[in-house]
Amino acid sequence: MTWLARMIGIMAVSVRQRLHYRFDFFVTLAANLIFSGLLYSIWRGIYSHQAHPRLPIQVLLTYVLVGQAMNMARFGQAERYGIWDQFTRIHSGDIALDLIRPLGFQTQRFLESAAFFGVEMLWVNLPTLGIFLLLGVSATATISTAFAFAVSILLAFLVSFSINSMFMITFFWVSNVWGTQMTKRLVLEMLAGTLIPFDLFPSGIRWVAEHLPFQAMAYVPISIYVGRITGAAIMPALASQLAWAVSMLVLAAMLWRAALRRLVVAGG
Amino acid sequence: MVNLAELRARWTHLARVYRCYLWIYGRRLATNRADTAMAVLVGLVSQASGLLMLIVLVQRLPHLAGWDFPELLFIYAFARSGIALAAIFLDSPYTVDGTIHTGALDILLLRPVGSLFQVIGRAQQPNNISTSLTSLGLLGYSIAHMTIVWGPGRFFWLMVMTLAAMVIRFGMLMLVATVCFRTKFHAVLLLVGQATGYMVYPMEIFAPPLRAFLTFVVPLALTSYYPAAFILRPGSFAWVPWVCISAAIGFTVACRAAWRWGLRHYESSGGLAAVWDG
Amino acid sequence: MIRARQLRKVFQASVPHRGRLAGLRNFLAPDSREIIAVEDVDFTLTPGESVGYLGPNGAGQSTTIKMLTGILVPTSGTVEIGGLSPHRDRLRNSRQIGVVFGQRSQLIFDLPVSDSYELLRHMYEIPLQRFRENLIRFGEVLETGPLLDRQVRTLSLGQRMRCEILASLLHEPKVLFLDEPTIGLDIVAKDRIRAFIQQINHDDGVTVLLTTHDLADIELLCPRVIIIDHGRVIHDGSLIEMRKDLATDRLVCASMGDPTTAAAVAAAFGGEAGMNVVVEGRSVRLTFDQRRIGTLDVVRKLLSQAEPSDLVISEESVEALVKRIYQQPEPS
Repeated sequence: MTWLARMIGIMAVSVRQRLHYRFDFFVTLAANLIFSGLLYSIWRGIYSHQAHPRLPIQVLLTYVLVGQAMNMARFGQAERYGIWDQFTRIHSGDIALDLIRPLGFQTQRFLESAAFFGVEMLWVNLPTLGIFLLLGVSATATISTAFAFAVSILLAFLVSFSINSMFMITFFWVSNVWGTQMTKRLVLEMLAGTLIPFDLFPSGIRWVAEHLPFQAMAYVPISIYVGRITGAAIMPALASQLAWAVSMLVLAAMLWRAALRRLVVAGG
Repeated sequence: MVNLAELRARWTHLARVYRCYLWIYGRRLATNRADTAMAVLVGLVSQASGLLMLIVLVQRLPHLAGWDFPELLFIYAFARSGIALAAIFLDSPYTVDGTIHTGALDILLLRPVGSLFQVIGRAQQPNNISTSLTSLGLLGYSIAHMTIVWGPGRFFWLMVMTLAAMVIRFGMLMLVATVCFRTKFHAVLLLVGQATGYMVYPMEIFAPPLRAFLTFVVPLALTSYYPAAFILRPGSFAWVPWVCISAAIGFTVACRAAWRWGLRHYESSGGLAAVWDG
Repeated sequence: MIRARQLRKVFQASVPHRGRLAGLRNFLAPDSREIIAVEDVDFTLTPGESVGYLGPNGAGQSTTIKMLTGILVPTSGTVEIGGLSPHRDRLRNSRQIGVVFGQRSQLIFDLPVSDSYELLRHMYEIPLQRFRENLIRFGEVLETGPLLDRQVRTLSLGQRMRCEILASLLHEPKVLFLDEPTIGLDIVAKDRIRAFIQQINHDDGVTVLLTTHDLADIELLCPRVIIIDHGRVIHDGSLIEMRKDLATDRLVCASMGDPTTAAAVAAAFGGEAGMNVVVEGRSVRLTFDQRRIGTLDVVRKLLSQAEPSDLVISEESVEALVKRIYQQPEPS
């Protein structure tokens, strides 16, 4: 019980920290709308020049815009602060202090991220989605699809957290934070399928993308939303997402342990 | 009465200092090897992602808004190399904020070289080295595969337009950065920077209001599509060189004026935080 | 060499909004109010002088230095350094001044020290021969020779500060401004830096203006002291004069045979106006202003009361004196 209370306490602090930057959320929201608008224009323009599309335009636009709304690799304020915080903690050696706190290091990071995810969901993602719906993007076909989409987004968060935390291990060697962040963002946008639906990829690249963990972050939930994955296919898709989430979390934890051991042995 | 000898001496001095800045940049790349490696990686990844998008588009549409693939690749590569070169050599809009708030500007103001020059000179970015090299490669590839003839005139305009594009982009961002001297409104800059990622396609695909916005209000189109289109089809885009060159000059003048205004109102921070990096 | 006349600087400080949409309102329409950092500051330094510029935190020394060096534009008043106005002729003026900020660095963090010097050589157009000579000549006392190839970030604070001072002198300035050059340093590092400043002031005739919170710096380096508080100059003169004029307090400390005698002596002085009496065990400490109460009278009265086993008469320390000056109420 006290353990639970402590966990909730950490999350509450994190939520408060994030809410401190309320203005930044407005900026992120505005930016999100602007860039989605650009992307919308680009796809719209391309389709107007095309005779036989592989994806119907409405599906494509819904796919791309939901992807933007739920973008886990967004170049947002929330992500930037988290990453800088982690970077300074590693560079100042304060990371060693995290090791002696009662709650496991990974657990703490996870609780913080979960809190930020929740805040960002409420302040940016859902409002963006709401605005898109008003602008004419299709809603999910059924309530059960919406439910499956929500579950899928939660699983996507787990994968996103693990990938994020693996990228942060590079801060032990690299101080080019912008470069690291940008690399991560670009890789995710490309291979998670938020920028371009896999259906439009050249077939070789598509095969690779479908067998990497990144697709569990966006391609699966968005495909459920637009109805590319329906009915009996939903459960296996969620199961594979779960499998990716678990294995990536374990992998991230192992890599962090190795990196920290190296730090402690080397004396930082 | 302008004294020519004095003017020449001044320019030689600045050229020497700038050469020294480039040397320092090289030293930094060689010293911080892990960071340099990360920078090269990010450049390659961003190039790969941009190309993937372009290839996906071209696969679906062999002709986009009347341009064939080599031409589209040229437009893409022109925009990307301009952005990347500007980021390497003229990255200061993104560093001004830090220069001011850490108090490093105090140090720059104590030296016998203009502070704007120093702010520009000391801000080189490693993250775009591989982007600019690969973009120049793509530029070469697209030129080699084009049906139109590339005479010296086209190459001349390619250089002039690249330069103009760099200056316009720099001037636009720097103006925002300088006017926001006190407001810390850094997010705007990041947004503009991010928007340039989308400016690599023919403007015809955008709706007319958006096109007008990107040409006249935030003239990112003047740094990417229009100059490239002029180089390929000078007849249809004869207005471009005039507009681009005057925009470049206008932004430079406005930038200098804004910088002077900023310095007059500069209130050095009295913070205790020690500042590194001269 | 340095002349400040009627120097004044007013800052606009923004007052943050609170409550609803505070961030947005701060961005759109920040409230501000005026803060007077420096008011009517006047002084002149002759070539070769070495002057300490003192004041409590936030009294305006840094602001003054920033106006004298051309970083800040004065709200009103004029500054002249060797006939030039620092903010109008900033580039020309920068060649005749050297500046060291204890809290700022002009060295490139991730590269060897010598790389930063190389940049300065090009900026100030120092002939290579001269540059090398200066590196050696100044480096002797500062002992920077072995540091030149080290990365700046690996240097200790003391080592870095020595390199900073060398950096500000490579172009042989006629005036050197030092803003808290010894802050945070250990005694050995402080001594080395003081010796160096003394040397360039004496041997090279460099005019020095120094702000510090360490009064030992002043006592060793600066025959003349300017004290500023709440933006105004409250004292300008030699350290000796300052002592004579202001160090008027005397301390008489007498040790008695036993605590009872000490208490009795204290009681005898207790009622006297302007006399501060402290008893600590067997000893009595009497502090008073010698202009109002004669020192001899105090000693006579003391001896008439009892016979002390030890008697010490001392002047106020510079430290205590400056502290007392700082604590004077703000002029309205």
